[in-house]
Amino acid sequence: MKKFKFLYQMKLDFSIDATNHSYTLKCIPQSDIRQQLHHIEMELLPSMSYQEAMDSFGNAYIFGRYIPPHNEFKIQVSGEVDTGLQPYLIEEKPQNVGMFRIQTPCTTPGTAIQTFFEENYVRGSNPLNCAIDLMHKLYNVFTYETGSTRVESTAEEAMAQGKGVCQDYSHIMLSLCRKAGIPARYVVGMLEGEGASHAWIEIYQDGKWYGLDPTNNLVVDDIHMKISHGRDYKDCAINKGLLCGGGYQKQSVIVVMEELLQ
Amino acid sequence: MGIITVEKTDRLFWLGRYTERVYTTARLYAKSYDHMIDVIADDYKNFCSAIDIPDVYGSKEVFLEKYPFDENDMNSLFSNLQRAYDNAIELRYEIGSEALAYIQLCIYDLQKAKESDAPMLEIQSLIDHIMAFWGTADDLIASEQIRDILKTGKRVERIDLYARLAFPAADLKREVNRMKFRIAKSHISYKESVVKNLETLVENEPMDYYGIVREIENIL
Amino acid sequence: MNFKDFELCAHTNSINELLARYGVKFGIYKNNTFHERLFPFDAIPRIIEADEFIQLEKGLKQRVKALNLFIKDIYSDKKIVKDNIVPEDFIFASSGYMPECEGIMPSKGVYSHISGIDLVQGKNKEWYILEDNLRVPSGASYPMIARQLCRKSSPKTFETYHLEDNRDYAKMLRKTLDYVNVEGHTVILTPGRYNSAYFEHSYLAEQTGAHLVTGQDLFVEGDKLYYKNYNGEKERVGAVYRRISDDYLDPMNFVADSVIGVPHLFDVYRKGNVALLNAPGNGVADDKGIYYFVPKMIRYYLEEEPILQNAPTYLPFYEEDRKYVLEHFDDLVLKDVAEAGGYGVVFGNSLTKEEKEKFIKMLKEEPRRFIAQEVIDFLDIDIMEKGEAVPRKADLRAFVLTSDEPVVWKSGLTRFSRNPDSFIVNSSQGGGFKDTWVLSQ
Repeated sequence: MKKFKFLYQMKLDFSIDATNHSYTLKCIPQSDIRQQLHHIEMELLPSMSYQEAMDSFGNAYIFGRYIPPHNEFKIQVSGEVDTGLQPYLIEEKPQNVGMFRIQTPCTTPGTAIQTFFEENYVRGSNPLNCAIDLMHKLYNVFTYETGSTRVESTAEEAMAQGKGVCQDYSHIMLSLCRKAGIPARYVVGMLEGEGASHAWIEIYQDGKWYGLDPTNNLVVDDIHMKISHGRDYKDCAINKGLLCGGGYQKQSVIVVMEELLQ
Repeated sequence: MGIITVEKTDRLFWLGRYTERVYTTARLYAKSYDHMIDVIADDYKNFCSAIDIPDVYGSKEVFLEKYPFDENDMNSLFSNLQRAYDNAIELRYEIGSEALAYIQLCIYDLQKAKESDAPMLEIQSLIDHIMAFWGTADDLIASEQIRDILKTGKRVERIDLYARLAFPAADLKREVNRMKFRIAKSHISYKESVVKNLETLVENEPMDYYGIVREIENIL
Repeated sequence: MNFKDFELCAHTNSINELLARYGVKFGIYKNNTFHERLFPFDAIPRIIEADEFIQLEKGLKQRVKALNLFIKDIYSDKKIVKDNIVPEDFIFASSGYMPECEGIMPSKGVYSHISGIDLVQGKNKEWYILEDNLRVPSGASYPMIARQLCRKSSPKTFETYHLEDNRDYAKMLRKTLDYVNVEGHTVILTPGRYNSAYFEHSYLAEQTGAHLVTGQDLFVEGDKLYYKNYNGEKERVGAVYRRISDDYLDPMNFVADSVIGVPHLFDVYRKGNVALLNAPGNGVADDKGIYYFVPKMIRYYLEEEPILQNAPTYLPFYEEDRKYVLEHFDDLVLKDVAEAGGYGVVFGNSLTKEEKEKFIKMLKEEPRRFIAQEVIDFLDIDIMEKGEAVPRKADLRAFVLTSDEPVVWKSGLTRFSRNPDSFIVNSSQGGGFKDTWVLSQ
């Protein structure tokens, strides 16, 4: 168990004024049995009223529309979190777990994943051990390289080239677990010491979800803070927007997660 | 108060305008057609210059065939009717199926006229159907505002056409007067200064027709 | 009854002219350009006797009730899956299942407000359900207006035969829309005039008095939906009869480059601040794969025996059925569950040896993708061709409108194929339509 203070900031700069800006922002972490949040503060710039809502996966989000011309748009969420309170999450709607066993267009395996799976899959003593084993083996052959993939890259494309970022590690793991019949879901959150948002996965076993971080070859314990989960990255997009004008957009993200020593 | 969107208001206005444009030019075409039978063979040149469209036809035969029916000629009767139809088809709710049907019938009339060796008979029924459209609009459209917007379009177009065709001052004076009352009732936003200018322009002889055209095109 | 008995048939041409006058058309795209086509009308009606209709009505109500319960169950507890009536895979892997709809309870708990159930009649006079359309079923406007025009052309016919009036469809629809409206105006959302069913959208708007709008006319402010009038004032919208598919409803939640939707419409719906007809996510229940399970649903939710039968159907997903399908391949019709509108339908006996082998390989690899059905011996109905009556294949789309209770429209859209050899009666593949008469005594 650890205590952190955290900050997430996403800023868009527009080269010309944007108007009529519809947005959906999914960057508000919530308390659960693994993590407990305190003193959450949220700020939107320009300041505006917004709606709070919860999506069908249980992720909190805000949405709204800002009409006046603006050349920047910023959201900042900060607070404190206790992590690692439990090693797992309890599933409250086990009837829905099946949806995480089905591949999505970006996790559908092709030859590269198929081959890796055939060569490495061992039916473990339980789903968690099996998934951990796959994670170790993936970690050995897959290389972390920034800029080697795009946001829309599929698991298969990343696997075929042997390198990628945390999103690709996670998609490949989802693909492999689902192939093995293990329900698995995509997670977006923050990691201690990492300057950007992070992605990992959760796998399902006996009513519980366990976190695995394939990028770091880790079982999630107390240095991760979760924001949202879904079938793949699309369900967890932190920022979605539709606007008029805006010209060239630059997005900058600041993530801070520092341990508070008691 | 009904809820008519900005887009629908615009469509009603232009439906009024294009319907009027088809009506008046079809009647002039009929007159010109008659003239060309045995009076002046190339009267179409006067026709073109009167309604301010380029003479791209070159001969009476080409004109008689192309002006009403050519879908690639943006000034043809067909193109103007098509534009009326394009607006009408999106206004079934506002104007009703009965009124819409008359615009549909006009389309069929023109298609039949194109195939016919006596096209003037079909063009006559096109003119009849436009009259029926206005009659139906008057009688069956319950919303006064919708009728007013439609008729504002018609009045505006008529002033525009009459000025281009150099109609007598008395006609223009009457039309400006009718338009003035109609547009005030329609609840659409327009430039009152334009109405004032038009009222002055039609009082001054000789008439500044170009001035009138300039003003009326600027009314919204 | 012989068609020559119908004075009405003598007026076929004038009725078609009247249909043209009122712009009764559907749009199609050919070589990327938009064309409007008249929907040819055949004056010989499909006649359903009063007592026959009572049975149909009971069966359709029962079916739609069960389908509504199924959708509600699927997006919440999934009892039918837990109880092993429907395998989980048929839900989660279905292209019509939308996880985004989990946990959402639509206004008054109605999911399929307007259901179009396609049926055919066999030579044995038995009616069979062909498919359920619970997303955006279209077609009611055609018999509605055709009846109006037939009465105009041949009043005598309607003096002689006593039949149920079908011109109350707009009233029924309005009631259905009002029942779920949460507060404010009711609108019909159309993709615009270049949609194939634009005539219907505009005609239903006129007939129900609901405003016809496009996505551009609507906007979300806060967590509510509004309509902007000509003064720029906003007016609340409480029910949207949307004639656009789920994917294009809301670019913030689904297909991002949809220009026909309304940003955040789905978020407003999720909060219960607007009713959408039909509810998003209904595709999970009208999938060709789920069709097989509808009789089981009726037994499960209603504890009743199904009144209307499915065409005998096999699911290659089950080993026993797969065996049967392979043994009787030539006698069956195979359907790809992902395709709609008469596409993806293959008659086993129409394939060459190689095609057949290829198909069977596909079937074995992806058994969930296909269903197989016995070929029904259709009861043909007469159409007029060059003054003669000739028998053709035809189906019936029945409309069931659900507010507090499902109500069956006493008519329906009868579509026929012009081609004597074709079983496919979809209007996008040629063919015409008939009025459907329900006799009142």
